[in-house]
Amino acid sequence: MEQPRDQWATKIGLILAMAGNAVGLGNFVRFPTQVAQNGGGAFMVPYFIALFFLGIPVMWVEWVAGRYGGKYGHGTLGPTYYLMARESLKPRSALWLGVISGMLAFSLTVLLNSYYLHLIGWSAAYSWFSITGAYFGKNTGEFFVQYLSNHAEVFLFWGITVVLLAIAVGQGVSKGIERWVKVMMPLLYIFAILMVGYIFVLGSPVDPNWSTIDGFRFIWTPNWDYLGSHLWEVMLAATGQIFFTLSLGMGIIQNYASYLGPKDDVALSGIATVSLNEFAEVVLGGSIAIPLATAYFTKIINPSIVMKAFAPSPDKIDKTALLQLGIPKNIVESANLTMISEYLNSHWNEILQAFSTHKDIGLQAIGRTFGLGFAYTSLPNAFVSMGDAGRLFGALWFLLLWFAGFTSAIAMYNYLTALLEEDLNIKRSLGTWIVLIIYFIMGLPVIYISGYMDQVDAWVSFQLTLLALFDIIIAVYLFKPDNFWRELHEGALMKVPEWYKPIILYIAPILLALPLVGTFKGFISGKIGLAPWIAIITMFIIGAIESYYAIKKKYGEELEKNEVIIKV
Amino acid sequence: MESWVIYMLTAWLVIFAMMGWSISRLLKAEKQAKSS
Repeated sequence: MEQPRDQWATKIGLILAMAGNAVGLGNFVRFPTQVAQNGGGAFMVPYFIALFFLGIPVMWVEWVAGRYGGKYGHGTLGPTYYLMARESLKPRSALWLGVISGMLAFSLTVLLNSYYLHLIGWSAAYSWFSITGAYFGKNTGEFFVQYLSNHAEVFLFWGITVVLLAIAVGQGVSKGIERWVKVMMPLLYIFAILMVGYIFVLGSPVDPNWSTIDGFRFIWTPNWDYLGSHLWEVMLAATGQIFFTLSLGMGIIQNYASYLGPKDDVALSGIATVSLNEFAEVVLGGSIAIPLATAYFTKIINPSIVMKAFAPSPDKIDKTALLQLGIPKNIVESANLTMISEYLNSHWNEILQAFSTHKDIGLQAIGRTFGLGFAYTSLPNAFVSMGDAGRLFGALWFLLLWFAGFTSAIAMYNYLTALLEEDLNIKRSLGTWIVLIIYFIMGLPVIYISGYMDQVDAWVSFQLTLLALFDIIIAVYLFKPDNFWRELHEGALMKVPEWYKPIILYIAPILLALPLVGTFKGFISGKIGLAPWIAIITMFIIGAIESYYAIKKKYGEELEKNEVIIKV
Repeated sequence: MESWVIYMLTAWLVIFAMMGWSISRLLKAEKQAKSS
C-alpha cells in the first residue's frame, strides 16, 4: 500500500515557503542587474506588463497543476502533465507531452542550479570578506574580478553551499523547509527594510554629482527613447526576469502545490506568493543595489571597466555610448582599442564628468561588465562607509542574501529528490546524495570554462519561457479551459475576475510564443558553445528517460490499452 | 513632487496593498479553519 503524502502543516507556512522559494538572489542580485542593463525606467514598463499578463496567470496555472498532480500522488511534472493532457488526448499521445514536460523541468532545474549555486557561494564569500574586511579600502569592481579569478576560493564557498543544501533537504518537506524559512524570511525582510532606510538618508557619500536618489530616478523615470530603440530586447529581459523571480516554468511551484489538500485554496495563495515576491523585488531589491551603485559610482568604475562594457573587441564597439562620453568621433570610428583605452586613461576626469550627465550609461557599464556581479560591486561600499560596524553589517547582509538564495535552492533540490523518491522509489536520503553528485559535476564547468555561465543562463531564460508555454497548452487547453477554471476556484478564498480568462487563454500564450520564435534562431546559430550543448543534451536525455519510466511505471496498463483506467 | 516619485510610490502602494490584502485573508481563513 502506498504511504500518504506529506502535507503542509499550516497555510502560512506554505506561503512563507513558497515566498522563500521565490524570494532569493533573483530579487536582490538579478533584478538590479537587469534594470541596469536594460535602460532603468525603460525596463520597468514591460516588467509590469509581463507581471500582470504572464506572472500572475502562469502562477495560477502552476498551482492548479501542482494540486491536481498531488491528488494522484505526483509532485513531478512528467506524470502530472500526462494526467492533464489525458483529458483531451489518448493516453499514448498524452505520454509524449508528459515526457517532454518532465524532461524540460528536470533539465532546467539541473542547468539552472549549475550556476545559481555559484551565486549563492559568492554571497557566502562576501559575508566572509566583510568580516575580514578584505574589500575595505579597495575599488570594489577590481576586487570582484580578483575574487572570480581565484578558482580555489570560488570552489570552496560553492562546495560548502552544495553540501549544506544536501543536509537541509534530507530533513523532509514540512519539517525542513518550513523551519528554515520561518526564521530566515522575516529576518531578511527586516534587514532589507533597514538597508533601504539607510540608503534613503545616505545622500552623496563620495561625489556631490552622484547620489542614491539618482539611482531611484534612473529606475522610476520611464525611458521611452531607450524602450523604443531596444523594444524586443527589453521585453525579453523583462519576461525572463518575471519567470526567474517567481520560480515559474521550472516545475518547482507544481511540486510545492502538490503537497496541498484537494480542497485547499490556490487562487489567493498564488496572489500572496506573487505579492510577497514583488515586495521583495520592486520595493526592496530595487532600492538597494542600484541606488548604491550610483552613490558609489566613482569607486566602482575605472577605464578598463568602460573598455569591457563598450569596447570589448573591435567588432563589438558601442559607438553611441562612447560618443556620449565625449570620446572624439575619429577615435571611436577607428575602432582601435588601444587608442580608445589611451584616451580613457588620459581624460579620465572628463569621462567621469560626462558620466555624471549620462548616469544611465554609467550603470549600463557596470551592468554589462559584471553581469550578475552587479550587486557584489555596489553593496560592499555601503558597509565600508559604516567603518568597523560595516564589517558586522556586511557579514550579516551577505549571510541573509546567502539564506535567500539557499531557500530558493532548497525548493529546486527538493524537486529533484521528489523526482527520485516518487518516480524511481529511491530513498530520500540516498536521493539527496545523488543530486549532490549531479550538482558537483554540472557546476564544475562554471569555474573552469570561461563564458559557460552566461551561455547556460541565456538558454535557461529560453527554456523557462518554453516550459511556461507548455504549462498553458497542457494545464489549460488540453486539460480543458472549463476544467482549469473550475479547479482554480475549488476551495478558493477569492473569485478570480472573469476578464482574466481571455488573458490566460489568448494573451499569455501569444506573449510567450513571440520571444521564443524571435530568439530560437540565435541559439541554433552559435550563441551557445559545445560544452553547454553537451550539458543541455545530456540532461534532456536523462530527463526524458526518467519521465518516460515514471509515467510507464504507474500507468503502464492504461498505456497498453490506450484507455483511461486510473481516475480519482 | 517629481513625477517619478509619484510613479514609484504608486507602484509600491499597489504591491503593498496586494500583499496586505492576500496575506490577511489567508490568515483569517486559517484562523476560521482552526476554530471550526
